[in-house]
Amino acid sequence: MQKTIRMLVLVALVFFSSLAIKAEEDEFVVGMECNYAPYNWQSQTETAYSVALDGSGYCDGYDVRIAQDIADSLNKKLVIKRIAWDGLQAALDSGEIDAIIAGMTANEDRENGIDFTTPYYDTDMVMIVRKDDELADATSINDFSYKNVVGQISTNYDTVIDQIPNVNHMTPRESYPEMVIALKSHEADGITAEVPVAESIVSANDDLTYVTFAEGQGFDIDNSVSIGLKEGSRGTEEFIAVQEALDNISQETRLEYMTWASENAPSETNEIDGSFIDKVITIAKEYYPIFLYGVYTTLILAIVGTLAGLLIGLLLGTLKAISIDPQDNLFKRVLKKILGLFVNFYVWVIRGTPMMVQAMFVYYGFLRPVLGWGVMSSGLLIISFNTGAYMAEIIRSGIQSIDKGQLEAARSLGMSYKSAMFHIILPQAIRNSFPSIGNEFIVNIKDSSMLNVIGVIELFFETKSVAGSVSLTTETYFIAALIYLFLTTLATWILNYTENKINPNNNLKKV
Amino acid sequence: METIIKVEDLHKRYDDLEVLKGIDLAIHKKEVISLIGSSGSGKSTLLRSINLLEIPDKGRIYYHDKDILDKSIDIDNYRSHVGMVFQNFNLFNNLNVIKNCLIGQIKVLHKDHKEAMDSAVYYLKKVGMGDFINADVNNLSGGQKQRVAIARALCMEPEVLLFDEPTSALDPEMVDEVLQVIKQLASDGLTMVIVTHEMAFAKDVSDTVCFVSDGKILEKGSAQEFFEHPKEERTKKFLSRFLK
Ligand SMILES: Nc1ncnc2c1ncn2[C@@H]1O[C@H](COP(=O)(O)OP(=O)(O)OP(=O)(O)O)[C@@H](O)[C@H]1O
Ligand SMILES: [Mg+2]
Repeated sequence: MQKTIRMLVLVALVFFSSLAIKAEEDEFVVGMECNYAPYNWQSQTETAYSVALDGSGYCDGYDVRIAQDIADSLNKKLVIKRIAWDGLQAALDSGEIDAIIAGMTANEDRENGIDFTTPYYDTDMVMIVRKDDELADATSINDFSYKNVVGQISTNYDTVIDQIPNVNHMTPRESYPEMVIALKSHEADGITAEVPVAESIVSANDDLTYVTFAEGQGFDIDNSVSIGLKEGSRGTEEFIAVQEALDNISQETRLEYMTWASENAPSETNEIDGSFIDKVITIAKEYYPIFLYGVYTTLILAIVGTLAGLLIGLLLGTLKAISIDPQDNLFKRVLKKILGLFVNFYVWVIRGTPMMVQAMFVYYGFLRPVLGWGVMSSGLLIISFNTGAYMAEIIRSGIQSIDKGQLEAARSLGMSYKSAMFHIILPQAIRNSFPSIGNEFIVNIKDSSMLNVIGVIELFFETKSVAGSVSLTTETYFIAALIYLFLTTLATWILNYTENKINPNNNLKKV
Repeated sequence: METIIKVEDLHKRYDDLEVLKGIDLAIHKKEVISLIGSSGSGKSTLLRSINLLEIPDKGRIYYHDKDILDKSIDIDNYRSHVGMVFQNFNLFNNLNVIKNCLIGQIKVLHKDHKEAMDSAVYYLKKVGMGDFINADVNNLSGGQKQRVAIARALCMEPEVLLFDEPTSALDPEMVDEVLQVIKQLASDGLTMVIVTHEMAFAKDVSDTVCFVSDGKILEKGSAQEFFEHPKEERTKKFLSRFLK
């Protein structure tokens, strides 16, 4: 028992110290999505300019080349972190990254939380349409009245759509590949984009083209992209050094980089052919490092979440199970009562709301704005506290299922309540509840997928991004289903094996 | 004779049910007291009150002249001097035989492992369980479990050992092995209070027998006097049911 507790505490310590990891001094750590060609994209092959990602292939693109030049000027090693669009600012705030170079446009909202350099690229906003559509001849945004127009979530490309009179403003999507599917299937009639992005999409999709708008007929918007640095850094040495490094990259060089990026951006959509199984195999072969990285993150979330959750559950479940002793004084009675109410409230809230809602609420409401935590540490915390509530119930019923003679025997020897709980009751409660505790692990392997809403790059998130890249939803999610099934089956097998080891008697009874 | 525990005017009620209605009892050093009486008369409640597993509503319990119902008394320390053996053994299911006997010594008496081990082995041998030191308690027979439970209590070297129907949960063929152990303890001079329905055993082992009826000690006397010349009508009636 003591060993178990010590191990759990150790895990918790590792978990919390991992939250404190910050960018290192001699590295220039840059955050980007790696899913926004031609600015940045992810690939499985190394090129002259690509940078290896932590565990899942390479990141390449215009942003990577600019970032490389800046890192060189700063005499630092370039490190690229792949972070969901919505998580970039939090990562910058928490110090997880030094800069955002992600094709991000400086606007008023973002200026509030990020200090931007001058633009490092400037383009017009255009509209991607089907080649055979009458809209291919459009010259004004007014031509898109009563049409279905879609843009990327949380970006200018989505908000500007409202400048089109009487437009049917579609629900924004996560990524361009997803929107391309919508356009090709006639669900959408136009996608807002800027020229380099549109160029790269059109070159990869023969049936698409893009329209530019005549002077004064286009969107009223600033489309330049800038480097984002930590708020409050303007005027510091670091900010000035980055700005100077950027100033040293000439207009010609920028144009050359963008031309290179547009030409080299992945053109995946038409590549994968054949039967369902052929496609599945091709996707698996091509993207296995991405899936593997997803598996890695999912397992970290499930393991840490279950162990930390067990620790929380042990504490709360015990609080819930302790009864008021007739010998307790008033203070103890009141304290027990209040703690009991608190635990009930906590369990009630957590079990009564979806983890997805908890994640959004806690991450955007507290962890990110107040503590400046990144998505992964937030994800770990959320899954741990979520699991803790379920564990509290498991431990409570485990404790209450122990015959009260066990406690009486311990007390009759002169053991204190605490000591009896720790040495006699809890070990039995944990052992008896082992199947339920193990079940929480299985649940966590699956439910960690909900953390994709705050941008944790776990298996579901990766699947979504691969599905977007290859425009093959069914095939990609089929792979994800197989992986989840494999993980849960393996976990079940290991848990059953362990259960047989620690509870041999239970099984004898079952026979 | 030195008095170890003295119970005065003890009352206990569960909601509407008054179970103990004023009990007076003195437990002297080396005395073996049997509590007999019909089911529901309050024997277990009395025993559990002496160990403070139940808190009496009224009355006093003195341990060497200290009132243990006083808030300032360290109850855990008191309990370590007053052992208890339960009808259902209540061995710790998560510990093997020897660890059942070690835990109290180490966690309560703060003995070092070697010393605790020595007395655990000594008492396990005494109850005839020396060959089962590393056995899983779940694999023992009832009689073996109860003997381990007695050894566990003895390891604390209590001044008084309380038994609540130690053989009632046993198959008939195992009753005797446990009673033999208790008899041995009696002849060693251990102070004991035993709730039992085994009349022959009570007569044989006890110095004093108390007949508990309806929350009171109705009749009390030396074993011989009690069994051969009971005074009260109710006692006679109760005993007649046990005559062959
Ligand atoms: N925790 C409790 N709550 C309510 N009533 C109780 C409780 N414990 C015992 N009683 C009741 O108190 C009465 C006396 O119980 P007690 O266990 O002391 O009797 P007993 O003499 O030991 O009987 P037996 O020979 O059956 O063990 C019984 O009627 C019983 O139902
Ligand atoms: Mg009883």
